[in-house]
Amino acid sequence: MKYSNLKMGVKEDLHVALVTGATGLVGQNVCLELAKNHWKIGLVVHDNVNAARALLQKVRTAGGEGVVIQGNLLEPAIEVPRIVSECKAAFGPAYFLIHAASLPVTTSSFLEVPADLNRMLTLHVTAYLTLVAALLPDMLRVQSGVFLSILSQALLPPYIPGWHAYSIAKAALAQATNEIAVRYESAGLRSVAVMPGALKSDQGSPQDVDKNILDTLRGRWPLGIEAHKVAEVILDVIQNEKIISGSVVNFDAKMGVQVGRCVLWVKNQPDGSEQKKEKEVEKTQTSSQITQQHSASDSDSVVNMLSVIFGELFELEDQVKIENAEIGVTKGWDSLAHIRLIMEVESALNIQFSSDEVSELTSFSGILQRVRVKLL
Amino acid sequence: MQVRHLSIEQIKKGMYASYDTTFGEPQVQAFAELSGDVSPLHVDGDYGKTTEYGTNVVHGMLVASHFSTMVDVLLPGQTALLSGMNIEFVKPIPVGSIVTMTAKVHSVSKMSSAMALNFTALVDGEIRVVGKATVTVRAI
Repeated sequence: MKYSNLKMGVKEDLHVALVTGATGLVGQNVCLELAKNHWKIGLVVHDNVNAARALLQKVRTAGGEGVVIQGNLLEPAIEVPRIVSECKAAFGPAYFLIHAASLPVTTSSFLEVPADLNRMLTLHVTAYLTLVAALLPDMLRVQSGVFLSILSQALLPPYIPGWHAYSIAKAALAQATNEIAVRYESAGLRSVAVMPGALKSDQGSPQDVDKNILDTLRGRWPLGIEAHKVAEVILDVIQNEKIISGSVVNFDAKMGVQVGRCVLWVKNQPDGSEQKKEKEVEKTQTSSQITQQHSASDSDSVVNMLSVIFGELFELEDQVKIENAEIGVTKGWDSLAHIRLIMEVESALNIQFSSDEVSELTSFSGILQRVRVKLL
Repeated sequence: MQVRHLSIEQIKKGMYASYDTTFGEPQVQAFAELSGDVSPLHVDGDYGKTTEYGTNVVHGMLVASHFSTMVDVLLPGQTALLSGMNIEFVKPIPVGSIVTMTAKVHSVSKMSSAMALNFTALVDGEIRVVGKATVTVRAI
């Protein structure tokens, strides 16, 4: 049998990201967060090359590596292959795509053919899908890759008058995010989105926008979330595999207060579903800390998580049977299943058992007790 | 490919391996002879043309045997003892296809000296076979 294109590696090899709209508010903050973690970044910009070069210097100072790639995402068929190949030439394939490119929102009458509808759809959807298709082959080869899009509350009712081109484009992007998630979940790829609201800009708070629009947004949109906070969450979302494919991280501030509430979908819930969890996003707290707090330190959560693992592995539905499960007694709990059980528990709770603990890991209650000690 | 020999200490979650290989008529015929699976769906060209696939298709287990290859040769290599495997055949693979085989370490337990891997077989970026395996890693 003949073999070709042999490729082997570890996940740290894969920290190459392509960031579109790199000099925008979200894009530049994402680039700096990635740089602090020593990533390699393709900074994609349309025409703001001087600002991109200045950002590149900051990226390098922060500990990352980067390359400025100029490209017009309103011509995706022509530009995307070149953008992707330039990033590949500099750092190898990109395994993370953060699509932060955007266009200014202009209002128009719904009865007119929206002059910028085509542009909005091209940038937010067509360009995104073209980038996804170009990056897929390398990601599939390593069963690893994350596509992140930026959505908007504008795609939800009540719709802002005159913003329909933007709303329609964001709604289409949300659908694309879902379809990518469904199609490639079994290949180990994740498709996620964030919905950060109207950010605090360099020009001032969102309260400087048109008063009529602001009145529509207040109470429904997060207003004034700082871009660096969004960037921190984006970095957590793309690295934290517990945030499942298809998740939308929704910042939902209260009445314009500059503290967001992060809504995350986290794996492994008692009924096998994914559970929505909410937490106030404090200034110093990241979403990974939030998921760890919810999923690891809460006693009920530990019981729930172990119950899901036992239930799936031994096909048990009754909680009493789960909690009384014991090796050699519970049907299917043989030596092979025991290995799988230990691996699942270690992976789900991010812990490692030692050989000294083996004698205690022979029942649900024994494993629960040992897990609680480790999580203290 | 050179047979590797990784220890449990060397194996990390997220480690990956992939290669391309072609499943042509010689490979399919050899597998049919070895396994006894001589279904015309796999080996009779005239019959293959009459099927909904328009051609012969590769034996699913021939493709899946490469999941074993990836374990025993690459991840972790000769230290591997395959303990169990689940396979799902998503879509048939026409004979003559170039298939990309991929493997990735899903979890590792040093205490149990075992690892779990996920596999895919892709044709033109489309998933055709997926698999999961549990592997005991023997001491070097």
